[in-house]
Amino acid sequence: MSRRLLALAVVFSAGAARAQTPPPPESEPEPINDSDGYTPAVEGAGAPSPLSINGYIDVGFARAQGDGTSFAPDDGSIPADYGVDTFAPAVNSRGDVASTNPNGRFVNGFLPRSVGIGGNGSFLLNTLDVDLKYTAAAAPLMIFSRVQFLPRFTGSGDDTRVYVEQAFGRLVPFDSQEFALAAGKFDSVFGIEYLDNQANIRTGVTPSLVARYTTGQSIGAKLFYRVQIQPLQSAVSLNVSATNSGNFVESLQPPDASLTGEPVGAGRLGYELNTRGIQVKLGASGLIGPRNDQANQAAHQKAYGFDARVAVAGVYLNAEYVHVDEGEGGPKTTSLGNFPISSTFNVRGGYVQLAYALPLSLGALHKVTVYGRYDRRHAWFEGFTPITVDRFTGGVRIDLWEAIILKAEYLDNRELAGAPTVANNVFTSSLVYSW
Amino acid sequence: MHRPGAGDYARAVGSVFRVAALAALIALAGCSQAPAPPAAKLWTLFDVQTLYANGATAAKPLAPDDGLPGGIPLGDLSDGMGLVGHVALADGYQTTFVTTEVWSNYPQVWMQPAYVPVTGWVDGLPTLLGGPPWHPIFSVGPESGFYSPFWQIVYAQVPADAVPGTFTSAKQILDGGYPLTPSQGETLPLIPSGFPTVPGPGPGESASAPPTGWWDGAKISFLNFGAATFSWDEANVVQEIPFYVFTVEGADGQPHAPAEIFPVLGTVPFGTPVQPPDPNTQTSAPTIDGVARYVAYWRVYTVPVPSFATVFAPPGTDLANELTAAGDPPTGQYSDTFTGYSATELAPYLGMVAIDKLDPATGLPACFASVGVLEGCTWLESQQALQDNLDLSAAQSTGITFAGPVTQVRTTPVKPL
Repeated sequence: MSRRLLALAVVFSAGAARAQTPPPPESEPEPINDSDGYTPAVEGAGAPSPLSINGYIDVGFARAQGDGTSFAPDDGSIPADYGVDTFAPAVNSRGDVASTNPNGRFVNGFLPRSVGIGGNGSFLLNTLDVDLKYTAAAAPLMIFSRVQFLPRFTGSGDDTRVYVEQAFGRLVPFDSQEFALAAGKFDSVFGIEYLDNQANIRTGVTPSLVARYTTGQSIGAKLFYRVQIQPLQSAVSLNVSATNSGNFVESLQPPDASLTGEPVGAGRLGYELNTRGIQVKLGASGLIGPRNDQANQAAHQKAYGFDARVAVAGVYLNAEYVHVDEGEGGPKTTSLGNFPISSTFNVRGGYVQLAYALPLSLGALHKVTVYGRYDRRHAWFEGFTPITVDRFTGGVRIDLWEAIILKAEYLDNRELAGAPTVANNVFTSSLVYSW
Repeated sequence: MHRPGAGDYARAVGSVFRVAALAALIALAGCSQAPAPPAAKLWTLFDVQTLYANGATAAKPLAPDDGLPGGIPLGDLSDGMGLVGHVALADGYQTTFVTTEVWSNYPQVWMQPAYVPVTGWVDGLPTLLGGPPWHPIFSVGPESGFYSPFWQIVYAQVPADAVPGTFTSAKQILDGGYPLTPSQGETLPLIPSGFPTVPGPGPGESASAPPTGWWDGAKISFLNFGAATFSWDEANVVQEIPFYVFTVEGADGQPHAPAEIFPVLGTVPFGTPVQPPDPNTQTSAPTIDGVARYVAYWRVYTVPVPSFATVFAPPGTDLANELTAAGDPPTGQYSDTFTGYSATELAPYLGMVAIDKLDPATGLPACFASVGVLEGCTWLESQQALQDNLDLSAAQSTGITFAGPVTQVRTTPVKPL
């Protein structure tokens, strides 16, 4: 492969649409939808170094109402995590919540990670992220790893983790095609929210109420293929994967080993319209396979979803709908431990996010973005009252130079049906340094 | 509990793989795995009704692979006409119990809250909103793997002018911020519509129809076996008490559990010393209103009939035939006197296990000489007797637990408290 074609392949790996269509006048430094996951863009005009080191530090301050959980103090039903939304009081881009302490009540593993601050305001080092990327000089190959340091202190003491979130190699075998094969641990292919997983990319601070089903990384293999339709300024893409766990976050389904011996298939079919004035991206996603929080191959999970992104005149609209059904399985194992039952579970939900980015040239101040998001989630475990919750999120983001992002937002969580009303609103903020 | 067919999944994934051309990687991912651990399973009276509706017979075994030979026959819960009473021995006496739920591979089950709206308290007793009968608001439905018939009654003091029937869900109670008074635990199995009821009615309940409560905004019927039927710990885990089932070794070398051998009810957890029986009631279980109150949650333990023990099974009885069929026919020379008795007349002793020394002349305990002296045998008829006379390290804990409220002790019906 010539050096020119190699460069093309690398650019493609980060977002071919930007390379082949005029960039929007005020485009955000965020990955393009229909890519196969976020990786840092190639920087500089000259030939890149084969090895690059990027990353970010996400420092936050957050405070949640109540005790930082969604558990109602007087509710004695068991498991405690079946009749409420334990993911609601999120405080950072990873979806970690203020607390998951059930105060002695039994829980059955439907839990997010916790930063363990309860209802106290606290500074947090949410993430120290280190990305290594190596681009082979003599092969159409890119190797990427993302290691994250997650300092945590929970009620059980120091709970700090070093987490390998991504580690994969990607091969682009044909010079003339936007066709890539990857193997390793990589981002989701379902929907669009996974593209915003990282704090230095996400417009706001916290993920949506359905992110737990669509944004998880897993180990396996995937394929990406895109066809440009130049006369229509459009493209159609396909992104499919076979992995251990599909796209659930790791606290719900462990990605690092297959518990069933069968892979989970997932994919997204996307359409893009890229014009100078407007960008539209539409997609339909699906997932099918055994649920990877237990060992019974007959216990299936199925999901489908639809997503849309529209960018015009500095206004960004993102929307996504997700429909998930999980069958009953054997004893449950997640990254958080072992639990007796993997219950039949169903969820329908989605979100709509609207953001307006105002570009500025006032010294260090480069951009101010205001955003709002509405989430709604309807879910039920078999034999438990279905719960319906929603959330209003509003916030502001300030970009200083190209290396610092300040974000602050408020989450208004509401229990509309089924779940007891509980004080679990959250104020959270994030200061992100990127390099 | 519908489970989609594996074929759908295989076809879909297969297509994905063809497109991806990553068969080699998938083959690696599909390497054989260790056997999956046994799945937890719960059968409720709703499942019983469904099984019968789908053509199952009373002989269908539930949990056949969980340590109890033959599992628990479906007919042990219901014969299709209602609950079925079974006899077990406790403290040396016959008791009758029914089976309402069966769990397999559950290390523990939990008590769940059931809310009861009240308007106040008089002399320490709650005043039900709208008066009796009560209509508890259940917090978990029978489809859940976390359902159990063991409920903690939580009284919610609602405004005196609240309209009866207003409160139908746990969310209403919790969102209302009403004072809550956690109270007694009660065994109240939920039942499907039209399920025949056998137990006697509780206070204020009609004898002609089962009582009803609320589950998720809709009415649901339940049976009432009342309070003092279980205990629980601080995590709301219901305490399990051993239910001993005797087994014999068949000709195939495998253990068999003849249904005609009386099981034995415990009164304390396995491995815990039994307290001496109360001299007045002759039971080691607490006595309330003159009746011994045994628990309603049991774990099945199998106990091999030891070589020095003898099952009372005269020739010609169903039990003798069952033992013969299992490959462990009764030995010894029973007296001809037993041939003059009907099975009903022998019933108090048929299936009991004696540990008396064998008479070399007959190969049977001397107390098996006639009906009149059977009472003098040393029977394994209580947890105390098992602990005193057997090495219970040979007893095997099974994966089976069940809800088995006792409905009669000796000849006295157990009225729900």
